[in-house]
Amino acid sequence: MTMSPSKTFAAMRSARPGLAVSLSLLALTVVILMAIFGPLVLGSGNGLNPLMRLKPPSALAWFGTDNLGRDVFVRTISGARNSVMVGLSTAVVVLLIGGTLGVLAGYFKWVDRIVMRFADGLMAIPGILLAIALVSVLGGGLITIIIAISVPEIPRTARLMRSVVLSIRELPFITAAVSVGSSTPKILLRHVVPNAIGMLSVQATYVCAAAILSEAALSFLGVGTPPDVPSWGNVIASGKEYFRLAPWIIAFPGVILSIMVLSINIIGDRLRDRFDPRLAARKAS
Amino acid sequence: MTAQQPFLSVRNLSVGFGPQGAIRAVRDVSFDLEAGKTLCLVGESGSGKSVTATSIMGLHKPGSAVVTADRLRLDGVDLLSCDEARLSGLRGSLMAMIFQDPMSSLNPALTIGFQLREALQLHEKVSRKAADARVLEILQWVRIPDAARRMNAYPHQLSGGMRQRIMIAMALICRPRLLIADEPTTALDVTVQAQILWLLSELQREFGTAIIFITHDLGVVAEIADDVAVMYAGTLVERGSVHDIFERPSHGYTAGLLRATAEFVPGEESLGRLEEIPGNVPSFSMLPKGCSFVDRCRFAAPSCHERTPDWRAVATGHDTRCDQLIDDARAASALRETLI
Repeated sequence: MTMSPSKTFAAMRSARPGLAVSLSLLALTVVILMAIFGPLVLGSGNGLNPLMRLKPPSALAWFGTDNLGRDVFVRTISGARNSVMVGLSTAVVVLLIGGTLGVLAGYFKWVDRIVMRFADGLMAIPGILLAIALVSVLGGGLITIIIAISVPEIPRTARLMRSVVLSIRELPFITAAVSVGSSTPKILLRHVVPNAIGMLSVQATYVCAAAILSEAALSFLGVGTPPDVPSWGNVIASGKEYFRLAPWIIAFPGVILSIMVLSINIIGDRLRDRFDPRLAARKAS
Repeated sequence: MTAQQPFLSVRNLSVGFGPQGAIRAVRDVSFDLEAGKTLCLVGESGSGKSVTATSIMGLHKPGSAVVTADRLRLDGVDLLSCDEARLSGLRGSLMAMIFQDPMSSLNPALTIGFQLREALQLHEKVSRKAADARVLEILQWVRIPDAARRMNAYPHQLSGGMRQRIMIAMALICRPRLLIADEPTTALDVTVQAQILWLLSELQREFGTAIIFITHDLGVVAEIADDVAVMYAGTLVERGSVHDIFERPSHGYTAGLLRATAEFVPGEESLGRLEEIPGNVPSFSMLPKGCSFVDRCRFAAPSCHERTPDWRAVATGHDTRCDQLIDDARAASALRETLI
């Protein structure tokens, strides 16, 4: 072998640039379909079966069973629904609130001063601690978790959008738009936001992936999704004491969680490449 | 002053940047412009030409510049007393501007047709269909080939010359009465440059638009100007008709600019060494005492270091802020040198 591993990897990438993305899209589609239809077919997986405790994977229970005899496969699929919900909702909430705040902060100096001081304050607190604090104040439940995960993410997105808008507003076409008589709201909606949409959609994928991880972390710590609703986090948590005896309880949902987050990140990277103006310019010329 | 007000009248326009406007990038600029005429603002980079133009348009970011003037009046409207909303209504309809860099002056995310339609609908209530017809008409007027199809094109799909013509179309779609062109041909090659200049003069003939043309290219000035105002280090140093300026340059700086222009004489082998003006434009924070051009001037006399010369009339409509080239004999010898 004459090629170094990194060169081989680079060659593979250039030969099949779409492979990783296609696999990611496939994985995402499968997980989302499972999230939608799985629980309808298989139920919630909450049925206890003491005779089937801690059984390894078999034809009967593909991912094995946990300490209460619940089917880990059914619970993992059921947990996908929870994770996808949390991921997508958080992305939407964070983009709407953080994106709007960021655009305004980038364009108006007085908004900038207020918003960025709040953002600095929020970012000084570790996200997961803030989320735990919010859940304990607001109580459990899906909506609470979405809020708790969104709040620490909002300042990051607002900062990013602010910096994007700060550079867009200095571009000559903004001055040109002002010089033909566009009002400030029009400038923002027609000229600034469309040019920031690329960055925004890339950020959406990262927020979505981070939210799925945060939800799992919160549930693992016992402050997330209530135990009667399966989620990847609390399935893994329920398996942690039996890790040596029955590693499958942690392994399967853990692997699927990783694949999901990796897929979303790969698609995000791909989107970023697509929206990179330099790459776009190269393609255009 | 005559009974009739000039179309555009600027008196003692000053623009300062930085805290309390301490850096005075433009000082006491005054000129008039009649409808249907072209004024060329000439000067090297950093002399305040563009700042003067953006001040007339009111394009400075809020809080970034302090603009003062005794008078800044366009078609009877006092621009300085207009609030942002009123100015926004005037921009595009009464006055418009085209910029130096056609590559980045169009929004890359929107089609040409959309941007032109928006520029029109900002000022005129017209239906989508009527707007499209107007857009097509103006695109054909600026000689965009295959205009109907190009309406759906994005800026990156067009060449620089075409983009500049789109910019001109965008500035002109509401028929503004004043057009400010900030070095519109600098980024383009010479053949395209000629087309753009021709287009602008066509526009003037057809609609009687007044044009302020900012350039440092004296060849372009000779081509299109009616009047010329020469700027140096933030102030006007000489103003007059294009004939006055070219035939009897009466300021050391104008004479220097003319000397620094390459002239090709058919039949002669080479152009010889191109003359330059030694040194650089002084920084605004350390302007020399007296005439700001004194350190680079070939005609500088001791008195030039003492005080800034006042405006003096060379002839009717031709004024200079130079004491040295005011008398005919010296000016004539300076001119002779420019022709060598």
